[in-house]
Amino acid sequence: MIETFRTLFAPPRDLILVVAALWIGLALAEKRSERHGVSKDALNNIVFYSLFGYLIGGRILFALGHYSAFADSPLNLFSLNIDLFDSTSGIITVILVGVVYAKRQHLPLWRTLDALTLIFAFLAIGIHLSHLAAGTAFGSPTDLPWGIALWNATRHPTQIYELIASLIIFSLLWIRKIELSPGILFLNFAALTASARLFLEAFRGDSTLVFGGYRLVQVISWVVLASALAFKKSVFQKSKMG
Amino acid sequence: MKSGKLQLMVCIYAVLLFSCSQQQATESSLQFDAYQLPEARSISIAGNSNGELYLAYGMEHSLYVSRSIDAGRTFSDTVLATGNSQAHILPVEKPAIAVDDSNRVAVAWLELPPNFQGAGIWFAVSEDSGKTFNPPVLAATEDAGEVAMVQLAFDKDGHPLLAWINGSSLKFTRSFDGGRSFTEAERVGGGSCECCQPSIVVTPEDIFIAYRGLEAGGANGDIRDILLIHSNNGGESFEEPRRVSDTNWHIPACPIAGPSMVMNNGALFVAWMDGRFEPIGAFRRGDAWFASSNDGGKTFSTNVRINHDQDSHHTLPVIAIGPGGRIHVAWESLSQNGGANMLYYTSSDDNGTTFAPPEIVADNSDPSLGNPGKPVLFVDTLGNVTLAWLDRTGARLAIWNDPN
Amino acid sequence: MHANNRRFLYILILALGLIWIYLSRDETGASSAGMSAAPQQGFLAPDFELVTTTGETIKLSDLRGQAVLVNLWATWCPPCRAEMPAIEKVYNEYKDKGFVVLAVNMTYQDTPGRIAPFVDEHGLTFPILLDESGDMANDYQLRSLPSSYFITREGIVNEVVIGGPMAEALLRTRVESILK
Repeated sequence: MIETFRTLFAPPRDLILVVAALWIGLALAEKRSERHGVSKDALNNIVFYSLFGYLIGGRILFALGHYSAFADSPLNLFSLNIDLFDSTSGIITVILVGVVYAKRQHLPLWRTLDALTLIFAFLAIGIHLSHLAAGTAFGSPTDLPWGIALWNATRHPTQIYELIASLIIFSLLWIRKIELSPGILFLNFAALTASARLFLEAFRGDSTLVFGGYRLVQVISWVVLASALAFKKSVFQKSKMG
Repeated sequence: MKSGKLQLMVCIYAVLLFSCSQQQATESSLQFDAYQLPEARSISIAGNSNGELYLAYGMEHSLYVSRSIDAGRTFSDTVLATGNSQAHILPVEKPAIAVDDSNRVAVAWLELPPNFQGAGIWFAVSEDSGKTFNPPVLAATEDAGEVAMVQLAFDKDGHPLLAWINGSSLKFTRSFDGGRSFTEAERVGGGSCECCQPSIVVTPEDIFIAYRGLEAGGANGDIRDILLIHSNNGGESFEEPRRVSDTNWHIPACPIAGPSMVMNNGALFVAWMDGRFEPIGAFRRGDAWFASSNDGGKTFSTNVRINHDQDSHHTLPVIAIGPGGRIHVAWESLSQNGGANMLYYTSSDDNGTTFAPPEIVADNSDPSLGNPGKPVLFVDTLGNVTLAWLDRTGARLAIWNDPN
Repeated sequence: MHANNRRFLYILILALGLIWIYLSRDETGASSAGMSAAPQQGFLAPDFELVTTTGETIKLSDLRGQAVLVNLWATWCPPCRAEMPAIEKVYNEYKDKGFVVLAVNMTYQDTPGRIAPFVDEHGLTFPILLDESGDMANDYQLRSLPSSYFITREGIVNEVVIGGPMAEALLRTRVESILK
């Protein structure tokens, strides 16, 4: 079944999974955006502009990094070749565009992040499905009976582990109906995601190692988790005083 | 902006359309029977208008031939075609076999000397539909060089024509007495890729040989495009090579993949592999391509890519024509990211302008069978399609009927 | 939840996180450190274990710590044959510095009887491995011959050279690069 799935969504068709997840996440987030004091229109616009920024920023910054190649063939700026793209630059552009738009529209920071949380959570599901399709984010070799054959070894199905974690996180966020202080929903998402990543990274076969064997992503996840918990504490204290 | 939803949906649809524009292959809906033949290192099939299909396969140092009159569902006992000769059987070469409508079936092979330099090019013919083969005839001798990739065809009178590669030279000889004797071998065409088997098509008036050329490409390395040479005087002389592939594919290595060519109603159809989209010097994957000529090979159409996905390495396409003019193509596909290796099939009803979404005929999901590869294809006058390929256990056949 | 209990819970979570980071660290190099095994520059070279013409079994990962040239070839491939003398020469020059050549013959596509005479003819002294099943060729995504993979002491593919024959100068620069 996994083979069929991987054949069906082999790159670049794995993009369909991410885009579909974004669409579904937006539809679900729209249902609850008013609860956070953010209008549906504002939510749609921030996602649209950010997505646009991702595509433009990722392509332009890639082109700037390979200036000589694009100077020879400027029409490549409009090429449909998705390899001519820098995801990191795209994500940075998303954040910049999102912040600028929110400021211009005077959107409250924490409430806006809460409104976007369901999108982030569902997008994570799409990204992990895309990893499964493309064979990226693969696991370390294992003898466990549920190992999958990938990249010349039987490996932990870390894409499936992460998919299950993201489904659980989304469900926890969705079923929570109690009014929370602004920011708590987003911080819960950040803390849960960081915790999941910290735990599951141990089973990855492609970890970047630092300082003699420590997994860089686990260190970053711990920092994110600590920050999220610290912010949560601060938000709780403010809400008590307020 | 009032709402970004419409714009967002347009973006999403655009991405979906782009992703889906690469049509995915489907599991084969062809109804076929798969037959397994004894272990073989290499296979070829050829047929005639009488409903006869012949399979040639190489094992150890011999070539065997067997005959079928039901498109490959059943075969006669195999017959040793190479006599006492120590045939040089290489899996990267398809056995050279030719069949005509007068009960003649012939094979050609190489015999290497102990020092493996040069070779004898041998020929043997059966005049009783493959029941027995005449003693082998030494068609040509190469005293030196790396000899490989022999290919064979009959002219309209049943006289054999042979082509092979020696180093980077394409060589040719022919017989005018049914294979009892051959003309002196001559170099034809320009430089030839050392490891790519040529393809011969013979009509009453013409001889066409498609081969992978080898042209100096300067600092970027050799150009190995598909070229065609033509003779209208029975092989006495050949015209200057014409270019079939419309690109300069630079690759400083042997891609081990020659072209496949057929003719129908005066039109030539050629299929081949090249890696034109790969960075020079970093060849990792190729695509299967198609081109046609309606003017006797003088010019060829804009090349059409046969495979749809560009993730895997698509190679060794083989081409055949159905009774109604449908073009049939099969090829092998090797995954680039640990996924499945496949054998694909497709067809075209508009002379190769477009091809149907590929169908998966076989894959490597069964580890005991390994990768399916080295396909060969034939379609008879009744529309019986016979597709054969090799896997770890030997040769397999898929047979189905397509009257188009 | 009481603020003190919450604080305790958070500290407990963070402490458990630190313990897990310590327990799941990878000292043995089992992780490919950000790289998957693939026959491409910058990736971990796919491991293989093959028998040589002398009956010895060689596994690529056992050669960690040495710089390795994996050369895929066949007896019927003229550029493969043409570059063997240069490979032999460079091998002899650098073998004492930890350089190994593994010449993997595509036996499943070749004539086994030709290999020994070819090795004798060229006086090759490095190991000649036999890929009889084609699995190694499949793992290395063999698309054309010859194909050469220059692998660092850490097992990373430093460079892939498609085609040949490789000139001595090219060989020397690539070998010195992986010996560092």
